[in-house]
Amino acid sequence: MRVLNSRFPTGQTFSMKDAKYSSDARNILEFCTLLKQHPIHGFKYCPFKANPLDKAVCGLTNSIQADTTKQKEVSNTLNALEGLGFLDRKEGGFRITAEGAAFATLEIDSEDLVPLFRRACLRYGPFVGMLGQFRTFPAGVVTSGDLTVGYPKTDEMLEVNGKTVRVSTESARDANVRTRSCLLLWAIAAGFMKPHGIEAFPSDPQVRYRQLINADIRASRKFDINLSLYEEFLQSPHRTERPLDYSNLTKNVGSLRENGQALQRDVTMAVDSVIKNRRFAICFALNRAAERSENVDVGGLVSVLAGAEDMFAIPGNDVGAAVRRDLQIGFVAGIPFEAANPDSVMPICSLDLEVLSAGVPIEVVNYLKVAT
Amino acid sequence: MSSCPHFTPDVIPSCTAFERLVFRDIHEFLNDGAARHKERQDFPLVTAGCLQRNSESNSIEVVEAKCVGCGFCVTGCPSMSFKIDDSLAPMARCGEGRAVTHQFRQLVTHENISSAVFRKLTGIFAGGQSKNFRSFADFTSSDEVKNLSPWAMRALTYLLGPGSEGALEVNIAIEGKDRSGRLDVCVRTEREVFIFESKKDFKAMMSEGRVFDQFLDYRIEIDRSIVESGIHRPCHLMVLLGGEETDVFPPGHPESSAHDSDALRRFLKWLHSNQAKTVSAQGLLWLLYGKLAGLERDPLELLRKLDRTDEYVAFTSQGFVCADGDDFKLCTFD
Repeated sequence: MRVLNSRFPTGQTFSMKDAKYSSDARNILEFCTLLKQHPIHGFKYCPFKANPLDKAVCGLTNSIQADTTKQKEVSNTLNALEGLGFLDRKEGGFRITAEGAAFATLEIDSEDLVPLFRRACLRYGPFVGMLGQFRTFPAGVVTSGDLTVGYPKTDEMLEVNGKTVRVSTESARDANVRTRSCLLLWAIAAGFMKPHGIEAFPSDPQVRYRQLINADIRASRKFDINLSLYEEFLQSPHRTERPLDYSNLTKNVGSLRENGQALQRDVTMAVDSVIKNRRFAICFALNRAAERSENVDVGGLVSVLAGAEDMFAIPGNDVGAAVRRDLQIGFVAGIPFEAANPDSVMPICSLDLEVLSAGVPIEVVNYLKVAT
Repeated sequence: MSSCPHFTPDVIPSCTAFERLVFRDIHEFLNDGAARHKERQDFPLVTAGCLQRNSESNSIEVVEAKCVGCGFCVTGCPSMSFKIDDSLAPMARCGEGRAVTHQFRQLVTHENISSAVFRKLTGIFAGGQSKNFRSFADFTSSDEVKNLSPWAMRALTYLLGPGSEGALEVNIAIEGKDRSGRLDVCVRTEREVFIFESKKDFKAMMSEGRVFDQFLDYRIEIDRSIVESGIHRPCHLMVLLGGEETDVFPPGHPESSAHDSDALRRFLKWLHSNQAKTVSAQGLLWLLYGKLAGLERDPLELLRKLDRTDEYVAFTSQGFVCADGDDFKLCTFD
């Protein structure tokens, strides 16, 4: 953020390419305090690069000169900063927000940093979704593997040329591991969690646990939940400002690229909009219920979606079963819930519907507005 | 010492680092396709402290106590500006040119190939005081990806001479399998190709147990790629073994260090029945020394001979491991 803020002060738009390391501009080597010194040649290099001589230079963005990850690093970084509310996407590029500019000016040990970062985390849908699961650990101790992240698995099938093909709706295990690690480390830096132990929650977790947060490999698996902070979150009305938007309610199906996955990829891509529509409908219904302080009657929602099967159902599959499995999307998108009466759920917060709706077909919204 | 004439102070010299070409897949590599890009990487022994660089005088020094005699620095210098005598630890002579001494040449001769000289070569370095690596075998057996393969690529490109190009971890799709494989070391010239599947040592290779399928799968796919490329040149696919080469000396050989002679016999039989070949890293190191000493015969001729001789299954610094009826023996070089 410091590099970006020095090059593109508030109001200026920049592209992903602009955010990459360039030796011709102000760059990360001027700002990063984690750099190591090369034992033979003496130059500074990024500790997250396995090869110190890597021309990609920066582990967060790679460089203009070398980016073999095809923009994945810079994309992950900027998307994360956008999720935290430090960047806005504008006119095909990015702009630093007021919160982003404030974050960029703070030192790591500033007492203002934790509250600011905590507010940032609470904007981001997947983070709020993770917090929503804390209720199921009343003792306040959680093992990382018990936290569910990633897109739900719906087990829907399609017949294609006599073959039964499973639609790939769920996240891959390695993607879940990466997402969970990132959210957990944010939660530690924001003071919502700490490695399991007897010590109290520190007021400066970003300093106290800095080594753990920046480690190559996350060694801790068991964590304590800051129950008082969590209770504070539950008690105050919360609206997730940056939930996942419509286009991000399914995984990038193009990534199903391993040998033998071509048919599954093609089938999944063909029904991608149906899955997006259904997941959007679930989030839409949860949000409407939150605004009205009501529960969502899952059976009723199924009936509504069954009324427009072409929009919400994959032919030959049970809409009810698919909706019940897909309910988990609430925890991914940023509107977690808890079970209420049988077959009904109660959202524990609301979300910004305008952000969620970015890219949704108008007929889907119109149908849901009338039918729900 | 003079300044290095090959590199400026701002450039990473190739005596301390290696360069690998990056290809999309083995088909592109065998098809003489251009590399996607080049990557320069540190050599782990150097970062562990076997060399020191003086940026002001733009020169390097060998830290003898941490040298395991791998020859990486010498073969990386465009003018081989090192002095090697019978102490066998190279001394950097940046800007002053090569000085391979008479003593070194005398030590590394054809006649000495199968004698105890190589034991002396490796034995001297086995006394190295590096905390990281005590000997060349220790270095190669500690990590096949970071240590063994890069070293082998450098050794092969040196042995094959100017015009050779090396790549690491080249992708190879295997028909009928979900995951592609990676060919650890690939070096090509206009005339031939060497491909090594690296294994850090015999014990690890056998407990992992993948080499048997890997090798045969790779051979099928490589043969297919060669046919498709239309470029027909010898392609030598071999298993490269790090660690102590005495682990693959035939059971019953006085120097054999095999812990499980049944496993060794099974491996050697598998090699023989599938016409698969193994090269020890120490054997490859000996070839490198042979070229450094200026032997007239092309050292790689021994690997070619390994590949074309049905009875030979493994190449070590002490000779070929060859089939002898149902048994195996160590044959000296001719």
